[in-house]
Amino acid sequence: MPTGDVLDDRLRSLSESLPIADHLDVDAIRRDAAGRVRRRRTMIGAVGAVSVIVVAALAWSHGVSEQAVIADRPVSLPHPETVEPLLDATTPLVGEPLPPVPLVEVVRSDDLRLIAGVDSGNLWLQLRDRDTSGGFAGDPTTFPAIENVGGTFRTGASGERAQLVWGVTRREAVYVAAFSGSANVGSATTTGHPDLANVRFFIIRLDHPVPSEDLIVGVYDSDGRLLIDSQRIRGFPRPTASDADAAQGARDTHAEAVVRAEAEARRARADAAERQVVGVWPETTVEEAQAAIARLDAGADPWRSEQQTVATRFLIDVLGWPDAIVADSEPSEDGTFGAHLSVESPTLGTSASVTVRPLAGSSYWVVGSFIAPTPSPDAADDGASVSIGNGSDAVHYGGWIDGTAAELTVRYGNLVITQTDDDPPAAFTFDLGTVPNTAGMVMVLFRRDDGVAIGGWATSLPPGAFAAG
Amino acid sequence: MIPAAGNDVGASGCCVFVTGGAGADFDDVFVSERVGLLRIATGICGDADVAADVVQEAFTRALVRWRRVGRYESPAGWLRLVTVRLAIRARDRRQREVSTVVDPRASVEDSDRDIDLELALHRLSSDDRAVIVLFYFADLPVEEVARAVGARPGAVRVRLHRARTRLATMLEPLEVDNADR
Repeated sequence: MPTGDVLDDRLRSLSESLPIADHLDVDAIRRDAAGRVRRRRTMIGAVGAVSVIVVAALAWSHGVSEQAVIADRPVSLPHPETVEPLLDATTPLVGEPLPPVPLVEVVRSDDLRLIAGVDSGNLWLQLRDRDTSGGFAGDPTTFPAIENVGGTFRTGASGERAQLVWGVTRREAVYVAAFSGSANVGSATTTGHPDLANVRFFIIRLDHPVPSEDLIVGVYDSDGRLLIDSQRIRGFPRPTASDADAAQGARDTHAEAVVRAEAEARRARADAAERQVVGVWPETTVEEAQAAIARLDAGADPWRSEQQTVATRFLIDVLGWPDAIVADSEPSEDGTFGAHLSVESPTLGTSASVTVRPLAGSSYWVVGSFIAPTPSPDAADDGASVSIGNGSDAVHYGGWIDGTAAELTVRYGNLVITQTDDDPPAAFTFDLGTVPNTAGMVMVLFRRDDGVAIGGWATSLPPGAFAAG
Repeated sequence: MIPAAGNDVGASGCCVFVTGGAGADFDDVFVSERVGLLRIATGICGDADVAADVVQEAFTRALVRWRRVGRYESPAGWLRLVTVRLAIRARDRRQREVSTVVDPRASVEDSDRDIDLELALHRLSSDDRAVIVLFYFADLPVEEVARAVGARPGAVRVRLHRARTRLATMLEPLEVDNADR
C-alpha cells in the first residue's frame, strides 16, 4: 500500500499532468449570458404555484401539520427487503417514558386528521375522516397504543383511489415508503409535533385501491437509509387488557368528552406555540424578544407598534423592495391577535402576504411569516420540504424565478446559515451542527442581480427537530 | 437581523459570501481563475471536454449576475462552488449514461500520466472525489474545500481521510502487479 506521503505526491503530480481543454470562449460566454438575461426578463411576470412547504409551514404556525406526498424528491428509498436496516429489530420506538400529552392534531390531509395523545405512558391515536360538511367533527376512530409502524388501510372520501395507511415512528425517521410486492406504492415525509418530540407521524396516500397482499412500510432517515421496516419495528408498551377495555368503554360512552378534550388541547397547543415561537423578523427567539421589548419600551423604534410599518419595512429592508404599500389587512385566525396584510410594490408590480403577530405577547409587532409569488414555468414540478435536526439538515424548495438566485436563510438566534443556489430544481443541504433548542426561522428568497427579492417565503420554526414537506 | 439585500453573510462552513467593495472585473476573474477551475472540473468529471463545458457554464452564470457576484469578497469562491456542483452533476449524469468506466490507458499515450491513480479516482464517489480534487489539485485549505462542497471542515477532514484510505487500498494490488512485471 502506498504511504501517505507517496500518495500525496502522486495526487499532486496527477493534477499537473492531467490534460485540460482550455478552449473557453469569453465572447460566447458574454453572448450566452446576454441571452439568458433577455429570457429572464420575459419570464418574470408569469404566475406559478405556491410551494407545498409554505402551505405546510404556515399550517404548522396555525397548530396543524400538512402531510404531502413526496414529489421529485432527490432521495432514493430502497425496498426494505433489499437492504439491511440500521436499527435492531428490538429497538424501541422511543427510549424514554412519554409524558402525558392531551390530544393534539399531528397530521392533517385533505380528508382526514390524525390526532395523538399520551396517557399512562401509552400513545393513543384517533383517525378522523372529513365529514360531508367539510369539517372533521365525525366520530373518532381510536387506536390504542401502537405496536407496529403500519396502522390500517382506509377507504377515503374520494373513492377507490384514496386508500391510506397511517402510522407512527421514531424521531430520526424523515421518510416513509409503502411497498406492495416490489413496487413503491406511496411515500411521504413524516411530521412531528412540539408536544411529542420523540415521535414522528405519517399518512401515506396510496394512489390505487387497497392491494390484496400486505404492504411493507420502510422507514428512512434523511439520507434515505433504511432505519427499520414494518416487519421489525417494535412499538410502545401495549396497555393492559383492563386498560384497553376501560378506554374502549370510555370512548364509546364519552365521545363528547373527547371532543371537549381536543378543544382544550388545541388551546393548550396554541399557548405552547405562542410561548415558543417568536417570528421571522426582526426577532426569532424569546431572548431576542425580551431584549427588544426592553429596548422598545425605552422608546426605540416606535414603528414597531404599527402592524403595517413592520410588514412594509420587512419587505423593504430584507427583500430590498423599493416601495411597499399595504393594500389589505384582516385579523389572523390563529389566536395570536395578529393580522394578515397584503402588501404591494407599485414599482415592482408584485405583492406579498405578510403575517404579523405580537412580539412575545407585547404591544409590539413581529413578522410571523410571509409569502410572495414564486412564478416559474417549472413550479409545478418542484417539491419542497424542510428537515432540520433529523440527521442532515436540508431545505428543498419548489418554484423558481429564472434569472434569480435562490437564497436560503436559517436562523436560530446567533446561529445563522445562509446559502445561495442558481440551479433549479434545487435543494439546500447544510449542517446545523445541533438540534436547536430555541425557536428559529427559515426563509427562501429569489433575488435578482440588482439585489431585489421578487419572490420567496419564510416561516417560524419551533425548537427541536422539525420536518415538513 | 436577517441579512438584507447585498449583505449576504453566512456561517457554519457553508457558502459564505460577504459583499462589499467596488466589485471585481469579470475579465480579470476569468483570466485568473479559468485554468484552476478547469483543473477542478476535469478532476471531478474525468473528461476534459465535459469539464470545459462545466466551467463555461459557471462563468456564464456568474456573468448573468455579475453585479452581485462581482461584489462578493471572493467571486472566485462563488465560481468554485458552482463549478464543483456542476461538475459533480455532470459526472453523475455521465455515470448513469455510461455504465462502464473508460480506461484512460486505452486512449492515452502520455507516459507521464498516473493512469492507475486516475482509475482509482474514477472509482471514488463524486463527493469524495470532489474533496480530493479541491484539496490536491486546487491546493485549497480544508476550510475552503468545506465552503466549496457545503460541508463543515471536520466533515471534510474525515472525507479526505476516508478517500485517501480508499485510494491507497485500491492502488495496492495494482502496485503489486506492476512490481511483478
